Amino acid sequence: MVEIRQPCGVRRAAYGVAFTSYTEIRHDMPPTWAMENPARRTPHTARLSRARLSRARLHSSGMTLFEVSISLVIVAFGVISAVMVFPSGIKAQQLARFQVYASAKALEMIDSYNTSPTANPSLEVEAPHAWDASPSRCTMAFDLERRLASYRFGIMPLPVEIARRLDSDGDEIQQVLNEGGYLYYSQPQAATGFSDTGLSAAPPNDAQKLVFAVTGYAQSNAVPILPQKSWPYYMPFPSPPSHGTHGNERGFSEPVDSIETWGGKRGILWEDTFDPDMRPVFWCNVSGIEYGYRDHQRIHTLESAKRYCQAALWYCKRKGITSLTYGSLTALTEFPSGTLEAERWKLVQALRFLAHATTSLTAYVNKTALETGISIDGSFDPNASGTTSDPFIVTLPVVQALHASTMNLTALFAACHPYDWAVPRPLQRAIMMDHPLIEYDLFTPPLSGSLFGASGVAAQQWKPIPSQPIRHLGRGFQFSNQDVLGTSPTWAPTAGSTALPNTTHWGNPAHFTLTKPFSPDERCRQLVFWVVDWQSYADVETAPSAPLDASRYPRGAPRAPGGTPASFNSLMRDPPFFDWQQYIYRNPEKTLAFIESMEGKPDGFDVRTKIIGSDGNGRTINNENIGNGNSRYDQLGRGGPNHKEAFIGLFGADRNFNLKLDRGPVPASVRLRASSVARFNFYDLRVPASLR
Amino acid sequence: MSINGSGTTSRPAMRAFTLIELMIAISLGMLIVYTATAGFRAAAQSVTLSNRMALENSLLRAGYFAAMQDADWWLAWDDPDDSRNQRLRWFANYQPWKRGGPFAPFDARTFPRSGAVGLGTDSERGWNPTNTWPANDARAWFNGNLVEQGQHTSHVFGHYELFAHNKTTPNLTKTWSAGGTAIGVPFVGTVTPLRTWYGNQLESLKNTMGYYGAVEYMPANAIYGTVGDPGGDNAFGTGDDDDQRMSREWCDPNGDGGGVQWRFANDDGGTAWARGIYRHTRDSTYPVVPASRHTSAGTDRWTDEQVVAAQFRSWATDRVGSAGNRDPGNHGIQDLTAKTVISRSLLENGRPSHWPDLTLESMRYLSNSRFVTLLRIGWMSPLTGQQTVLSFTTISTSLRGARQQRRLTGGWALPGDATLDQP
Repeated sequence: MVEIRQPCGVRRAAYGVAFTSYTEIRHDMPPTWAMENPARRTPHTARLSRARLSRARLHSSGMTLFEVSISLVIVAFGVISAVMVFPSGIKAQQLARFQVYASAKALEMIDSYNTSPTANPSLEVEAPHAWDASPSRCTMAFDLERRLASYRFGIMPLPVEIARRLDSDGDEIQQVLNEGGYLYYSQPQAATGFSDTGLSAAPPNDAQKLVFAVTGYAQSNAVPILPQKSWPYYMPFPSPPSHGTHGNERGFSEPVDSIETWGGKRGILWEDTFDPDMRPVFWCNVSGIEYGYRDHQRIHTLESAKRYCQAALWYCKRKGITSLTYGSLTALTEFPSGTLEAERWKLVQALRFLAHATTSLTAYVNKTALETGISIDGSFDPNASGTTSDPFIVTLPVVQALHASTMNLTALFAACHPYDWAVPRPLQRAIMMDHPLIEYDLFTPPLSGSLFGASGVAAQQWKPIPSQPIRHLGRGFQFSNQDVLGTSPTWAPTAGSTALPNTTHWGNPAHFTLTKPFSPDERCRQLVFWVVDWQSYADVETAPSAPLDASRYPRGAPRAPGGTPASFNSLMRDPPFFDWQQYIYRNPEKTLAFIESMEGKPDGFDVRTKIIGSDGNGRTINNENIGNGNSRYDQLGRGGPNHKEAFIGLFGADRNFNLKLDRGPVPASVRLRASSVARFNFYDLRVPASLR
Repeated sequence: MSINGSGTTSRPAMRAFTLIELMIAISLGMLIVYTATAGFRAAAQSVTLSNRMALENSLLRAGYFAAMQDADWWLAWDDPDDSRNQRLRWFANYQPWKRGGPFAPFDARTFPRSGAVGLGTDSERGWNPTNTWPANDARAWFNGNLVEQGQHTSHVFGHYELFAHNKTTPNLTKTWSAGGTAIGVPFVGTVTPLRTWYGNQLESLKNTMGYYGAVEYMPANAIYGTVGDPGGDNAFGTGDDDDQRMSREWCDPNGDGGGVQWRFANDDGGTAWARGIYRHTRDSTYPVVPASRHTSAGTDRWTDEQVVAAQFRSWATDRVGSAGNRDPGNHGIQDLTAKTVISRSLLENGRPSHWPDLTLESMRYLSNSRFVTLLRIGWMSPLTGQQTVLSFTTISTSLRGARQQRRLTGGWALPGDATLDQP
């Protein structure tokens, strides 16, 4: 070892370092005073020193090439180390920028998740078996990524081909993909809520440089729509018995003896499947004279209004409601004492029909006559039941009191008995409590059967469990010829019992969890953002859309036009109404998807006429075909020669909506590393809810 | 040099560098210089880039905070500290027409209070800020006929004016017909409706603040409609009062794009009856239209009447034919954004030439049942000209919250101060 002593007396070890004049080299370690104080040196020692120095200089006349190389390596190491510090500064700035992007995107996602409308108005939601209708599918789950992965709510799945090339810390991205999740990117435009219609192409949102995923498992959600009966049913109050347009399917989805509504669109009375006494209120023919709502709607005279009143009064009598109640000049605000809970619906329905009928009278008499009173004959018995109606005098105060009583008791009934479905809910006062809490029982074997029209293709669905037994389940509107889940329409639980009507179709009440206490971590999920230059891939826009499961494609409910059951294919091809109103169905990239292969097309190729959702002039048109209202590239097969391929995004998509084909410089064989940018914890809802 | 034994000095035989050694030395030296130069160059570039990114990030953050300011405080629409930016507080106190902007205060001119206070008391008028509109308050329910169309009604099922009306004593004198055939007889006389509170609240909220404000203040489950049409065909001037029909403004569509534009109602599904917010806003967008020089339409140059009138219409944003219409006039999204997007440079008072320009665009509207605060931060590199935008929506302060932030007499409200919401 060569030791160097500097004038300041600091010792340092050095290897092959060039010496300077103020440094002495010692191989034999003389006393330090000789070097530290030259004035004390003797001539002899001075000579010795010079001689030794001369020898030393001869020995170190220059550095070897090896030494220089080593020196260079050290210098290079130092320089490179210094240089490497600088990119870390750039990375820090980049990270800071993308953290702002992630914050903005996370804000938008939570905003859109909580405030976007939950409706998918063009679905058929009822079927005798859950698997034959769409609303119980997982695409309807009220989970963040399920709700938002749509062409209008803000996020789209990254093509799996691309996502599979991305590395990340802990291989988190691949784990998400392996578990069936998606990696997402931001849609080109903000989630404006405009249905993307008519929007012009805009500079790409820089948030598209991010990719993100949701980690942690979704909860088992409440059932938003019970397929067998899409409760709550809303009706205006007062009103006649519920009726509506239907499919002309007596014996298939309608009772064989259903009553048709008036002309025009064919419809049926269906509410009488719960309570046959409603039928004469809607319509009946006694000795050649018609009575009830339908007759009055067609005839609209004073006499028809009176006959409608007679029918409604007969209904009151059948339900044990007397003129002491409905003739009161003071509006009822609570149920008469002594009215059993299970019997309260009778009063509500009786008031509903009678209030509607008596109000009808007011258009056919003048004020003076109404103040005097309109006499309604009694002794009406439409079906020889042995019950005859009472006579009644309708006056202006009675009409007003009946209306007020109806409104009061309907609202009271709905609020007090959310699990008694004997009475529709008032449209004038829709509240959260109208929606019962129902969840699927994941801990008992599911119901099983086969898909309608699919020649025995097996299907299964979990059994539902309501929070409380549902009293007076009634029947569903769409399939009013069948009991709901094997349960009589008038089934009523034993007081205080939690037992459900049957275990064949209903789950185990002990497995109901929606109202149980939970700890925050059970419902906490995480939104993870990464930054990666995925848009630099050569196939960034030609890679096919991420594959979607069948839940993204709704199908029509079972039907049998003309008595012939529809085939599976026809139900799949022809879900009802407009394609673009099925908001959370479809390939989320559908509006951006190419309608033909981009094979061989160069970077920058004009795709304005090659996108499903473009009108050819650079505006999105949200699938709607200008002029005729038909959907473009819908499930029916309309759209073009490559319909199916375009529909599922096989040709890729203009993912930044710049109306040009983009091909990046990075080949598909290259893997890119995604850097983690930000993580946000959020509460995973189990019950659909919206903020205002 | 060396010292020999005699004490004299002599130069030993020393050789110079060989050419190869020299070349190697020069090469190595050059390598060192090059490495150092490259290092310094990289360092300098890194520093430059870092500084530029830091600058851009600072501006981006500034833009983001400004966007959050807009979301939280509505400053772009109404600035409590700047009386020049309070034009949305204007109220047209014409007779019988009263129309105001979204920040018009609830005071004696706009929403005068009278009558008895309390649940179920239909005589109460004016804005009661302590009333929470509980679901069990019967006066807060719509009591009209929900299947009665505004333009085709024939009262086959009776006079619902008996149950709900804007007036306390409407006069029912009309004769009705359907298909040329008379229906019923005129009622001939005034009536005392059961409920008058709901219709008056709805009308007054609308008249005070416009469509956006009215919807925001009404409960989520509100039915938009009033029995009786107080001349409300959405125009300044004398109206044609009609006691026996559903309000045209709430129920009857009129205009392009599915009947949107000149009334609250649109015709989605052929509807013309009182209905909830979903169907009204499925095709239509109801914005807060600012009086701002930062709109491309220059809405600051509008008269007060024009500014207020713009709060009483909607734009077609769903139906392609109208939503995408780019013709001049009152049509689709282009016209909507021209009049409602507030686009301003955040560095308009000057910036160093090497700084990127920074813009913030803000817009508030109701569409598809959703109150949207749309924000877009944009910056353009002065070096490359590259334009970058970050657009997003966010949860933000409601209009009602913003009105509660503002003191009635100007400035920001402190607890206990009279506000635009609670004079």
